[in-house]
Amino acid sequence: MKILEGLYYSKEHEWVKVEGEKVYIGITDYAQNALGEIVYVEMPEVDDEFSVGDVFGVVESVKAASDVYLPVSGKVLEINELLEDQPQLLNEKPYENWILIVELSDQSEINQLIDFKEYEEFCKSESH
Amino acid sequence: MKLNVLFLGRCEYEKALKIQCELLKKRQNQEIEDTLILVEHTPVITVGRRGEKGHILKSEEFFLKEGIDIFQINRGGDVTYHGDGQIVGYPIIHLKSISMGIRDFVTNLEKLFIQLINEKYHIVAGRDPKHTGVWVGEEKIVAIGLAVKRGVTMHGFSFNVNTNLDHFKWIIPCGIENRGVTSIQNIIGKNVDFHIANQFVLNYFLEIFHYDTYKEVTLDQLFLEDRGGDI
Repeated sequence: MKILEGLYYSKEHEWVKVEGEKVYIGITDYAQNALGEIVYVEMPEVDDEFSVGDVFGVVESVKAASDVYLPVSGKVLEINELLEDQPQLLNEKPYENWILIVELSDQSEINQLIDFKEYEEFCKSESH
Repeated sequence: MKLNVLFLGRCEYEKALKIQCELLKKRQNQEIEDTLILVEHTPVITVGRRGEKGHILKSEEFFLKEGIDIFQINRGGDVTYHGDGQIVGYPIIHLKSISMGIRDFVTNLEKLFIQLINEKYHIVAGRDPKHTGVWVGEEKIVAIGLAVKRGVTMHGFSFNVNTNLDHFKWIIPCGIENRGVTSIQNIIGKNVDFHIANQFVLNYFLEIFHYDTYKEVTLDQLFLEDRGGDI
């Protein structure tokens, strides 16, 4: 399982990359592997606003449709339209294919996320 | 680990859906333990997230006349049919409680039915690499379509025991063309005991997912469990 340094993680298996007030959000390698072959990604609209923990979309694999949660509060700046036609990109390169870009509304929420080491430990404890 | 089992009997889809949603919330809030709902639906068509209306082959007027409802719902998958003689199961399971991801959960559901169908009805069933579910030859006998919300599963499986297979002609099941559906009755040539089939499903579910015991619960009990946990 691949975990990248320098990203933040949530316990719902999302990764977060921070660039100032802009954050990129995707699902981790662990998540894509647990879901199986992804066939459909439902995304919010640009300008939608969410609070931390809100459901922002659905990732559907051949096995099931799973809700995905926003690890930080903010407004959607961009969605990854590539995923509409090529949802399998989330399986192939989960860290290169973000799902959405959000404008952070509360910078301090980043501190609630975990770093790659903590996330690694968390995944181990999940898959005992 | 204990599993609650709720037998709803013959029940309309809409009512069962409401119960599922209520129990999902309760499971998310840790107010109840893992629960398996087993039910036989009155005839109904449901359309999953990937569903296309083109996979429903009859007109709205037809379904209206027949008294068949159509529901667009949030499970994985495409179009399916539920009706008499079919065992429908809705596992309201916290995946963490059984230490499993959704993919493994579905794989185990498939395994459950492959074993059950083989051991209890002496029919060889298997998986299809492309299509979720359990197949006998080219025909599907168990459909699976789940949703996961805050770590808890909903929707589930439908197992054709004595199902009227003609009703599947109303749709392209799961959007897969050129593949049929079958049932235990269809394969062995006679009606099988539906009650016993339900018991088989429950027993195999307990075994595959490693529950030590189960408790048959009523709706009232589940909604009273709010405060005290175990009754």
